[in-house]
Amino acid sequence: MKIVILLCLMLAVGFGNVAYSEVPSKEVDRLISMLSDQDKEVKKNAVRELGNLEDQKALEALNNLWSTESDEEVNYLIEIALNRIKLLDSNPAVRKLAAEVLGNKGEVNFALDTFDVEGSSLFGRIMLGEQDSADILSSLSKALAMEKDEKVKVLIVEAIQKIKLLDKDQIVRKEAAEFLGELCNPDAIMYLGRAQEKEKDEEVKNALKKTISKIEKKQQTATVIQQLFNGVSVSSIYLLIAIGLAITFGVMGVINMAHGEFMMLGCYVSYVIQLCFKNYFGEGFFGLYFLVALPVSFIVTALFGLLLEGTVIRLLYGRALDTLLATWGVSLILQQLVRQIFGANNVDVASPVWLTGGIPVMAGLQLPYKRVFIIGFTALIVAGIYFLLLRTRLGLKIRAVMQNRTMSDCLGIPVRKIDAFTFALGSGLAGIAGCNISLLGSVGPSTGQNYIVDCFMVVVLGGVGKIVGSIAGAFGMGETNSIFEFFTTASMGKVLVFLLVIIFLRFKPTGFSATRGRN
Amino acid sequence: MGRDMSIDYKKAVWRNEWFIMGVVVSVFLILLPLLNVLPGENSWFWVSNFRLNLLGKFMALAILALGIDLIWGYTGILSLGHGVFFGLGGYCMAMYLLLKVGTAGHYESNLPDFMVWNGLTELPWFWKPMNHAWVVIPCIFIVPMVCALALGYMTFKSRVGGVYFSIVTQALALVFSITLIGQQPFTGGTNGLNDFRSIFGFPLRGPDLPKTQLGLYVATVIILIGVYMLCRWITRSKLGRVLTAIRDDEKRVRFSGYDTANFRIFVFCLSAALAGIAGALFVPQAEIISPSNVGIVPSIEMVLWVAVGGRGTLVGAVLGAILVNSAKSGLSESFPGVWLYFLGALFVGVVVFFPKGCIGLLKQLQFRSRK
Repeated sequence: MKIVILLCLMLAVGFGNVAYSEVPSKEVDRLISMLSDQDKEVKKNAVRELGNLEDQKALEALNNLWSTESDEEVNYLIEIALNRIKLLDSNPAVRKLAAEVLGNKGEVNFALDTFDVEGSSLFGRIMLGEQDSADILSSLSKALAMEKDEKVKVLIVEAIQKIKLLDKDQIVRKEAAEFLGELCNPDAIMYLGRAQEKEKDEEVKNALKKTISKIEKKQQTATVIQQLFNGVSVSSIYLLIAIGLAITFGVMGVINMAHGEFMMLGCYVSYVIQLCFKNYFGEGFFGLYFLVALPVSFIVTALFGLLLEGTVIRLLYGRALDTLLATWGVSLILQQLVRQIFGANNVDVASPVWLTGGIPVMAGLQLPYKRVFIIGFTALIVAGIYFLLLRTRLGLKIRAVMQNRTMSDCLGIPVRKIDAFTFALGSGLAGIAGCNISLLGSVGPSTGQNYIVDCFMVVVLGGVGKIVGSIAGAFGMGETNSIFEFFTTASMGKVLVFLLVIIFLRFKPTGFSATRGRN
Repeated sequence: MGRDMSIDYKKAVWRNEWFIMGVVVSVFLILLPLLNVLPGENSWFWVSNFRLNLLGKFMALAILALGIDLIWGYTGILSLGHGVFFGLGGYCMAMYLLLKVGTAGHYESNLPDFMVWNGLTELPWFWKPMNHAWVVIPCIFIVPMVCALALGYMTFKSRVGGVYFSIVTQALALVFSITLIGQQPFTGGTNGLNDFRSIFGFPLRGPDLPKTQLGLYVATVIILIGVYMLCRWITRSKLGRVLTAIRDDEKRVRFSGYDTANFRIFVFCLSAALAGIAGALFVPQAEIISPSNVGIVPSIEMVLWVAVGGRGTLVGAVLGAILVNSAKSGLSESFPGVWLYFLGALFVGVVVFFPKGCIGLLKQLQFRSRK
């Protein structure tokens, strides 16, 4: 039997170093036919040997058997064989997964006895035998030698050490435990914990303990960084939405309840442009859709803003509360409109490829490109707004109208035009915010409402008149929100933030900053 | 000139407010219940149980509208969080009604069904006193008042007002509904509290339900009249004048030596209490209260009722609540899509074109016909 396999292997080597070696199909067919044997031992052996063959056909046969086989023991072996073959797949993601699965196969050995109460649990009856672990190790080291992808390599190394933790020799086990400490992968912590529980040798046990505490420490730092980053990310989204609000509110004293819906429109503009790119342009251009969507969403929502300003808000200047109610009505109409055109269900906006993935900071911590992009984009927008307001003639006029309307009018500043422009600018910013938010998940007609109340609170917290207030408000809200959410639940976090804002307003009713105007 | 004479005659009656009040009250308090009880079910005059129950709910909401009119129409403070106070009153009542189910529930436990379902074994502390009517009835208005007092003190004392106050109250509505949904084991979550059996010993299901509903309707109308009289008395007193003055020019009132914050807190608390009463009357008639009755959207709709009827007039508030809710129950069931457009257009239209609402329109017509 073994001679046959050896022969096959030699033949395979002879046919060259392709990923899937050519094995005489007769041998494979014979083994596959053995898979349907009634005798369990014959079956098990056939599975093991198919795993050795690393053949595409064997993969199919094993896959078929896996879906019909009811015996847990055979299934367990099939999984090993399947993943051994998959280690040579051309797709690195498949290889990665296979290495992970193989590495964790020994977990059942640690769980022996512990789960055997019912006598029927999987862990109770199956264990990774010596032959099988040797098979896995040989497949893994072979794969390691051929592997070029660094990320997969690390996973394979880790899998090898995990299997080595099952070795009879305590020196090998101790070395494996220390090696795993060097790798410091937080995903391995469960496995290591189980191993430590079952370990009898004191020295190995201590090594495992050290490794676990090392990983735990690293994990804690990772969580802290993650939370801080989440806070910054949420803050940047708040800021992006709230900055448009702050401008319209600051200049015109208008609270635009439809601001959230403008943002939602921005999401849908991004969705439509994405569809256009998918249907009319080639695959290669798809990544560019987002760069088109950003300016288009700005223009579309700015036009909507102009329309709203010209028809409704213009009639209500000086009646802030009435404007609030009227724009709420507009928001209802916009929501219903979108619901009828695009349907009530959420739609998915596929993000461009260059924004998928993330910056790996450390094991178990990745900062997604999308969120980093949004943070950077927000910074850019804020800088742009500052430049516009402080360094251009237009900005000078906007500030003049903001500080003293009547006097500006007397000096010949076209107050009405400035109003219309400012409102369009604020609305356009909402659209751009929506375009960015569509990166983070599916969007629906009520997306705007989910964000808007928080953003109003940001404006209240920040105070009217200065953008710096809004920045402080957004970061205050975002960070406290993510901290509270981490320590309590999402709903409790919201309640606590609200209470904090109320208390803050008691002592600082004008928010973080406010210009002292005459009105 | 017979035509002119008839107008003069109408004018004379129109001026007699008490006469009109009497007619309206007797129609709603005596005629409608009689038309429900006396004629047969197929008679043309019969007011069906369904319609009477619906009207009863609207009357309860009218009490809430009166409260909003006091704070917004008369004092000029726009609260977008009245759903919270409505909900507090309503949930208090619903807790009492659920505890009175006793062991008759689906799981035959002492606890309400949803608590058993959520794995609770003991009644939460704040549910325990709700078993007694003498605790619940004061709670219905004291709980919203305390809540309003706390929020009002924190904001009005530091002179937070105008749009700021509106946004803070809106956030309150959001937080309240999030809490109700998030704390499902104690509040019933999204489903809210429902499946009541009886109120003060009268059945809320079975063949005798119409009788209980009739009783609830009459009680609601009587309380509405009482609240109306209270509001009328307040708005015509010196207190009411100060409130209107705060609406028109808060700073001037402050400089005249009035502590406007206290007046604002007072009117906020009063209107919260009215909202709580409205919630408590609404719950047994609607037989459910859930977060969808108390969140941001219903809260701002409540303001619309007053805007449609005519802010700054008490009749307008009552009229608006009944009109808008009738339109809603008529339109939203048959054309749900159209209803939202209609609602949106109503917000815009009332604010831009008819800021004085129906009453303002009527007065304008009257003024024109006098000419």
